[in-house]
Amino acid sequence: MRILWELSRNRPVVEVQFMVAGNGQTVTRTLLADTGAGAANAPFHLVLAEEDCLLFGLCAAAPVQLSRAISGAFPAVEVTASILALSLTQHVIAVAVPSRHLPTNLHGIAAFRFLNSFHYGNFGDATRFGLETL
Amino acid sequence: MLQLTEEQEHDLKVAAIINREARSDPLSPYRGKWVAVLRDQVVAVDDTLTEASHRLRSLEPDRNCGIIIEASADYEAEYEIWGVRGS
Repeated sequence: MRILWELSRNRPVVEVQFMVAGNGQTVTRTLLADTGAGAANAPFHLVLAEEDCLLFGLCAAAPVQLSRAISGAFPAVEVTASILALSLTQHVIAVAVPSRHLPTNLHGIAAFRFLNSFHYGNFGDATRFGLETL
Repeated sequence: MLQLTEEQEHDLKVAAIINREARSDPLSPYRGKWVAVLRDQVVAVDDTLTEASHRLRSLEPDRNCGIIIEASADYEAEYEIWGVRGS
């Protein structure tokens, strides 16, 4: 299965649904698809605003140290993330950062570990970015 | 829940010991596992985050209790975020 999203201000993005802790409600967030964020073995999949981590967090995870564009030690939480078009729901680790660190007009970052669990790219359409299940 | 409670700080210390063991001892039972610590006790050692989380929450529903780590991950490393700004 594959899903593609239009580029947002010429940047690749993914739309992810998150479950609000405690009430099962889902909220959609648009995240920068950033293969330059983290590494395949990094202990996190996403970078989200602190407010969203408070909303979606199911459990505290060990803090994570980031550097370069976002620098410092930040708390991390487990969240439930879904991409409905791919029939995918998974528990992942999100690093909680102040929203001022996040990409302009986006809700967060889908880091390399998250993207790397899919085939990813433009699949022949330079105006879009997509994910396909492995 | 972003600010760890005193109890979770203790859990994090236990988790750090497990993390060091998993990374240094090839025979560690925690190697490659997701581990949940609750009130200084290891309460879950599972192959997936989902399993460890469910086991933890079946014991303690309060999301401000307990902590989860990926036992073999390197939490001492700095992970680069290359750039986030765009027009």
